[in-house]
Amino acid sequence: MTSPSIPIRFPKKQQVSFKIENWLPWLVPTLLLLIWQFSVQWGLVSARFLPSPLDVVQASWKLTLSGELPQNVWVSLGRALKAFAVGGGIGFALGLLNGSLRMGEWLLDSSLQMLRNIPNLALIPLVILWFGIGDEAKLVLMSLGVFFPMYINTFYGIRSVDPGLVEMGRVYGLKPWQIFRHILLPGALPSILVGVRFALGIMWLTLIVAETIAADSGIGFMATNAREFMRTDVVMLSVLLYALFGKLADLITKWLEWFLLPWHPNQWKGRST
Amino acid sequence: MSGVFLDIQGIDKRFGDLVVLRQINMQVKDGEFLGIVGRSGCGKSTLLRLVAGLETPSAGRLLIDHQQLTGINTAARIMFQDARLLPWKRVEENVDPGQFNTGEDVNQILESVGLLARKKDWPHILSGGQKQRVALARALVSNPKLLLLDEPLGALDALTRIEMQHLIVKLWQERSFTGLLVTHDVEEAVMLCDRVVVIDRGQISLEIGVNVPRPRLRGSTEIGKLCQVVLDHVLSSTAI
Repeated sequence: MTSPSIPIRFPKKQQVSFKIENWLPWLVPTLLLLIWQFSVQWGLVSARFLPSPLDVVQASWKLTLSGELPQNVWVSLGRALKAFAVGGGIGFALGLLNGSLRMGEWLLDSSLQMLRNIPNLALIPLVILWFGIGDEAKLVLMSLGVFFPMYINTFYGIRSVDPGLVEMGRVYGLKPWQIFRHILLPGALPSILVGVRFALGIMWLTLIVAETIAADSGIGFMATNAREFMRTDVVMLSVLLYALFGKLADLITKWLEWFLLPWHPNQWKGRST
Repeated sequence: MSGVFLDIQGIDKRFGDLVVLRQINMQVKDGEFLGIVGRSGCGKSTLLRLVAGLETPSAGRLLIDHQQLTGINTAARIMFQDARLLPWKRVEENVDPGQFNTGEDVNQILESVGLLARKKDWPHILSGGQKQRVALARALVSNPKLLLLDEPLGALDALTRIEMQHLIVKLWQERSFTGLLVTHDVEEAVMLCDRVVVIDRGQISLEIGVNVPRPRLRGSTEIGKLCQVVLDHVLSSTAI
């Protein structure tokens, strides 16, 4: 115990407008970009081999004006969203079903766990034989890739909910659907969102592979096509676009977590009620 | 508002070969507060779960107001050792997870446990004592006729525990439900209850009335003597 006569001094936080932790992450990428730009500009690297960042920007501008870039981006995004809705939706639904009902788990889980170990890209030859190289083939491949992370994380999310809370729900007169709605589903949500994160990662990977192997539109097609004409700037642009979409997907899941899990203690840094 | 008459007739409970409770006969009057004391593993929590309808007896009958209990006991609310609040619901939603009561009832019970100002808070920022007060509010909001307390204060610090004991007695006197308190804390049982029962290896080994008027004083000689009697009995019983 401190005696009241001794004043307690709290260290004052310094008011700094320039916070180093906000700027430091940008340092390395900026430096790399500069080194890249100048090494091409000064002829250290052949521009045919590696186009400068400015070349890439120019290429993207031209392709935007010609309508080629927006068209391909639109096609790729459409495929990604469709596959996510189909594969993710089925995975989510089956995860909920098998997580909540023992009967569903006994019937389906072991089969699904077996299929899970087949990499979806190993099915490419089969999928091409069955569905050709059209959009169906890509949709099947990507949906399969998205399905498993969603299924597994939803399933284990439901199963990891504290049984004490479910018991509380029973004693307090909650109907089975209320227990599902108010206890199981919100309890599983953090795990489900982890599934969304994984699923998005696999979705991009599969999209790139599918569009590179067999496609007549999309970002992957744009890159493969550019390779034929030695347009390294367009290839580079495609790679950067994938990076951009990956980052965007990550931001969306972070936002979802922030929005759907306001109660989660992890989120309580820098957030009022 | 009133309580229920609880009549336990020759109840056995076995889990496989393990006999947890043997020939329990006990009656709890309408509005009575009964304490059940014993060493850990003596079967006292199982008895409470039987009354809640969370377990079914292997033999014997359990009557609530002369009606045999089947399934979950809808007259009863149970308070667990851990508060079991839903982390994703604010305090006021936790008080009424099934949304069976009006907002007014919720406010009123939060007021009586002294947490009305915290009704919009998430549970994880509450202290252990506050969480248990929310759990108490949740147990009492629907005016249950039977309140089952399964060592609800075991995890709290000594001062908070005394405050909670006062609160429980106050609410019991206001609402006159039938109360069943399971605890290993002999003093807690004697301070709170009208009657204390000791369970040893699945059987009732002592039954003692606490005829001390309320409010009871922790340090009084009557309380002290009763505590000593019960404690001696518990200590002389066999440890498992």
